[in-house]
Amino acid sequence: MLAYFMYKRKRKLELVMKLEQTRNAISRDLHDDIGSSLSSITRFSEALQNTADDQESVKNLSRKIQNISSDMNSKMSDIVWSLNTEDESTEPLLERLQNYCALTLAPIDVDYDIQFSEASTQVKISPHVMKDIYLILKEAINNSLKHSGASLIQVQASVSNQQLCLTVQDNGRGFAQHHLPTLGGKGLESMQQRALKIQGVFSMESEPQKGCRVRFVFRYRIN
Amino acid sequence: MEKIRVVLFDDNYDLRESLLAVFKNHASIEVIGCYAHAKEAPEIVLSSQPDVVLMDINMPGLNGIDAVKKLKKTAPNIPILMQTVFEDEQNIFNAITAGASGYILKSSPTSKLVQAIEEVHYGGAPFSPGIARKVLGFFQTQSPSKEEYHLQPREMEVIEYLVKGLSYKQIAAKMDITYTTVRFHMKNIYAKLHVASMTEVVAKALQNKWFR
Repeated sequence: MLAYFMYKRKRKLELVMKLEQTRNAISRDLHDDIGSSLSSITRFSEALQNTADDQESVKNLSRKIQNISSDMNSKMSDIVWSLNTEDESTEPLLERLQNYCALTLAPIDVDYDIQFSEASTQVKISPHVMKDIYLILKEAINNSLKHSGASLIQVQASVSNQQLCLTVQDNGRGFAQHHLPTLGGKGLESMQQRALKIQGVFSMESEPQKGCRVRFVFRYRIN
Repeated sequence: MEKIRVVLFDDNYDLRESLLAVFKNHASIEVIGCYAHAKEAPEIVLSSQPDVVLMDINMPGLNGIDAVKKLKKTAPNIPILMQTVFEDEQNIFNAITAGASGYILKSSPTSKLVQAIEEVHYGGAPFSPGIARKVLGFFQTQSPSKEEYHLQPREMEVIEYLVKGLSYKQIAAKMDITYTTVRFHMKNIYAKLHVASMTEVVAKALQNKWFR
């Protein structure tokens, strides 16, 4: 009887500590992300003051400041969402993705289709990882939206061999694979970095006129 | 005057772009390269030979502190200025012991950043005031306090007079004790401080700033 209570207590303590660690990791991320972005706004504003007579640069720099601050806003809300998520499955991810697509794709008449296999909704992931996965998917959708001219974006989640596989496929104009290294850009870079951070494998495949497919594979732990 | 050539490693895209923008046509700083990660930092620095490396700490893949360690092996003479969001003691300390020359917070105004870059370039070690205090704090807690040696008040008194340059005889007179008692105190002090001479006692007291 006593042993049982001791066990329960230990288990509870472990849970509390795990939660604490997750919160710390997320708030560190938040701080790092937001801190760096704020710093870039400061620098851009100073650059703006120094180029006051060059109209083109003024426009360019103020657009950058605008983009960064609106980016920060949505990132903050994503991070707060992940902090408040208690459900350690991919269900909240699916839900949030659906919301996002409904808000951004539906109004501009881009069709979307989100399919999470039954098994993939059972996968347990920490809020920390969930946030990064969500941000990768969101970025991939955004990239398609901005660059591909696609009329359909499909998001799929499936599971095999303890790996969660997520793909974002569009039917847009695509690009030749050898152009990929020169595409650069913030979106691609941030997807790669997030993947690296949670030790996932990220890839992007495309052919001209055949759309683009972003694939992300993440090995999850089973407890 | 020649511009200071800077290479930057930072995983934040906007931050890199913003530094390029703010240092475009700058009078004293020129950014000659920006990189999203530091995995190839040694190769990059060897081939581009910058005057100063600006290094983020928190990066996926290879973090800034490990990158500093690698850089110090391949290009030990190129100063590295750490740039970070956090005022975090452990990171600061690790960066310094890894060989970074200085530390600046990303929230610092650009004028401060320029100053810091110039300082490391000319051999200085810039820290923002908060960081400087923390680093100093670290080294102060590292040096053992008087309490750790378990010195008695009378023994401390003897040491204080020694530091002032008094002889055993003068100390005996000041403290109203015999010469033998002073020698007795000294024997205990030697044992407690693990030293073998009067000079060492004085040196230890001065180094650890027991008296102001």
